[in-house]
Amino acid sequence: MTESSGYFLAFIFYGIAVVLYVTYLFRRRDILWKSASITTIIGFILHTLGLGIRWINSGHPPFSNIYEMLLCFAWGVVLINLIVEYRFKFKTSGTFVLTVALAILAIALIMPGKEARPLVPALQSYWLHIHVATGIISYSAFAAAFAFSLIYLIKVRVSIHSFGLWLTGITAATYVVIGKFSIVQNATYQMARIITAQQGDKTIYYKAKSLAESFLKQGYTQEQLANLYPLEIKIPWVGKIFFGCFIIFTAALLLYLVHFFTKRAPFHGIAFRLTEIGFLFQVGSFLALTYQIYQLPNVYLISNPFEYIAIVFITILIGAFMVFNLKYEQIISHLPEAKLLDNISYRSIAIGFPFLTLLIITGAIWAQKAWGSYWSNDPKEWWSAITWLVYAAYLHTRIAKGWARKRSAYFSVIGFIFIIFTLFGVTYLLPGLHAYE
Amino acid sequence: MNAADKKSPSILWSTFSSVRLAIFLLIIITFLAILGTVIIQKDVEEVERIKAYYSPSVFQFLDRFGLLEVYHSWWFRGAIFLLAINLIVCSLNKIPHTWKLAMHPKTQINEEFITKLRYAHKIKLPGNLYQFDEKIKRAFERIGLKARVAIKESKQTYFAQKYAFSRLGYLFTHFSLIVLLFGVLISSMFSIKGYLGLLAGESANSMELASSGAIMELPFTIQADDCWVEYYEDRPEMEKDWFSELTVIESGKPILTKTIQVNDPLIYHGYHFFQHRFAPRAQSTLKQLFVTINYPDNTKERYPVEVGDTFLYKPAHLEIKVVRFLPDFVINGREAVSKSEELNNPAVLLQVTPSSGSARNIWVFSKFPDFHQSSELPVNLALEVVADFKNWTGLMVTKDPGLWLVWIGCGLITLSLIVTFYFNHRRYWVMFTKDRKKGKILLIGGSCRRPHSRIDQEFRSLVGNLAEEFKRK
Repeated sequence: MTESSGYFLAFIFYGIAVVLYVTYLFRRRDILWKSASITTIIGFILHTLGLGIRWINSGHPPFSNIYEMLLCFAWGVVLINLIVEYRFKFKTSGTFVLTVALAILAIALIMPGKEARPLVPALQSYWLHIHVATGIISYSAFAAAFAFSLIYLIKVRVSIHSFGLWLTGITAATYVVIGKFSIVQNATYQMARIITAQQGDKTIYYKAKSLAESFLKQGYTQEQLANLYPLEIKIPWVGKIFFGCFIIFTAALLLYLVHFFTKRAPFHGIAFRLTEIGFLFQVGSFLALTYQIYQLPNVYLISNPFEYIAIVFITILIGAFMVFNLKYEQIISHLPEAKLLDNISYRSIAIGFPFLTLLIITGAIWAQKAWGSYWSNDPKEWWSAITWLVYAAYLHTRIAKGWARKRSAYFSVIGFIFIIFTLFGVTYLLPGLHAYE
Repeated sequence: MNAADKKSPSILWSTFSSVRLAIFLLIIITFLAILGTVIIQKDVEEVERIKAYYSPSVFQFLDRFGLLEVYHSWWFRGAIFLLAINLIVCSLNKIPHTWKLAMHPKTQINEEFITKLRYAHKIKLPGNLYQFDEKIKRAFERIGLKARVAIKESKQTYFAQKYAFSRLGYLFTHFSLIVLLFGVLISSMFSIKGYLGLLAGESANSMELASSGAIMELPFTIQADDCWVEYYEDRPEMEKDWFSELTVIESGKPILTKTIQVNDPLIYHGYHFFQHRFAPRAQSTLKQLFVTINYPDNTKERYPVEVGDTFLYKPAHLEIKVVRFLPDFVINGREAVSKSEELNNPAVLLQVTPSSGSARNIWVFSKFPDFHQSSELPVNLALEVVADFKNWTGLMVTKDPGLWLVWIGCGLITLSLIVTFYFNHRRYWVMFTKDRKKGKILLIGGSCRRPHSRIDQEFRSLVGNLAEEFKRK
């Protein structure tokens, strides 16, 4: 067995397990839960084997780039899921937590830079390994807290309408961002902000803009550049599907809003139908984009992981929403007590927070050793500090101000969005010329 | 808290002791920190490149309002300063209450207090309470706790607790944060950073400051005995690590020698020397030039030459004259010149005169042996350069008097978080009471800081132990 087939098989097993868990949510047959659990464990073993092989082959822990980090991150989330499932007899936890792990693994599998590279000098420090290990523990714990907070919100009956309102809003907004406000004509697909280039005997990671600048300085014309490194390409006819998605979800959003103010049921009914149609369009847009990108020369899915990930995520979210809407009441009655969910979520954060602190401290120690200062004011550092502040605020509002339950759950969901941004957004979305991995 | 305490706080004190202010400041600081990541900062990019990134008017606007140096601005630092004050006042304010909670547990309690606790249980007791004191104490001992006795209104209450110190954990965290912030403050005021570059064998006693470009004298001399680069065995094009063997020399005597590499600096008298950059073969000293003549059967003949030399190549009846030598050949306009004194692209101009015919001038390059060859020449000429190369090492030098405080702060935070999150203060009370039928009852209550299944278990075993003890004769 090769290493990558390990992850791929693990991905498939997790996928099957999620389907089994969801079925178990509807039909309380113990055999379903048992097979789901066993499938997860098989996937987990394969996942572990893959990581082990990678570690042995490369001679260092698989912590050196964002791809390896994500593999470990997904691994940590699955582990937490297994612990919660058996420790708290929370048999449906896999439905949610495993979905998060599956999404993370999916992102890892489409990431660039899969080959284990030898480490550049600055990365050869055992502090790096400690740093990333603490990161994996803390981020997995926060991811689990996020999933449990969502389950909590479902359990305490945040109404299906509010979920619909939020989801359609987020989806419409995502399409606007991906389409860069001009989706009617063509979809544009911005190339990775990070491009690798050979310079002499070194591989250099550029943000696209700085690469373009340096090529222009060397006397290339814009046209030559566009052929060499297409920084932004137009994709035929996918934009129209994007636009369709955007229109449908905006319409659904408006209807949910009307329903929110008038409380008249028909509006909700139509809004929900629209969301269903929107979901089909969404799957269509996802498939069309994938197909078109495979058709175009010099363009790869990994050229812009962030936008692709965004589509994958909102599709999963809307899909989950559709599934839960089928038997909302039944699902709620099958979930464990709200109090337990709140408690598990809080305890996950109580694990995540000290490790987040360690993550920042070990990062500072490593930076001091490698670059001579423990803090250089770069965006990655500040975003990790910001996530720390957010979770510090969570703990203070919870302990000192007595916020718990719903407000805490919202806080934990928002906190995880900050984590995700720190992981991907800083690298792909913020301006600046350096690449951070 | 007595009446005198309640009266005293001023508005300022009560403002700064509120958690609400802390949350407000956290939000402000978060917002400003995000601002500093969305706008490119002078910390991470050179001003010229930021200028190129933004349009001139936007740049001017950002520069004018200090948005290019958010983290150095008075408002950002002011917000952090206010948060620090808030942290101190808040903690001071909480000390009496927390201290009481941890150090002076509530033992004067009544039945209602126990029944309202998170854990509460009743056990019916037999008529005669033979040796009840020992029994209760033993039940506590069996879960590893030592019970003490308090008496209120002639009722006996037993009390035991564990990990009371964890209550103080958060105060400890706040204190460590202040230590850390203080260290950061000292760093930002007094730390210096500079660069110095050395060829292998060279030494220096000054460096160029990163902030101003001024030259600063070092209190000692630093010498690079040697410097080298290592490559990956399986991928020889990838640099694995850079090394410099450095010696500190004070008043003419070598004090300390250490081989530094990336991630492993030399530290002397508060100065950290980091392996920052590296240039292989940065300086070259020419030792000898050779013109070689290659035969088709891969054998060759070498002639050591100097500029101005002429030698005869008899087999082909050629007279070869070395006219010019350029260490770093480049064409400038229509003229051949040397770009630098380094042997980057060595070339010689040879005047080749066959015995019958006119002289020809040809350039021969050591790095591009096939470049000059024209079919008209009967032989294949090449240039060989023998030279000494020296590597160059770029060192970054820092001195940060706040560093040790920062590390102490970090260490204390870690410790305090362990205390706060991994020790759970739990308290148990046991008291006698009577039910409506005047039967004797043992009331057992417990509470903990954070609910945890291990404590549920501990309470259950305490109840079990008590029940068991009282069943005994």
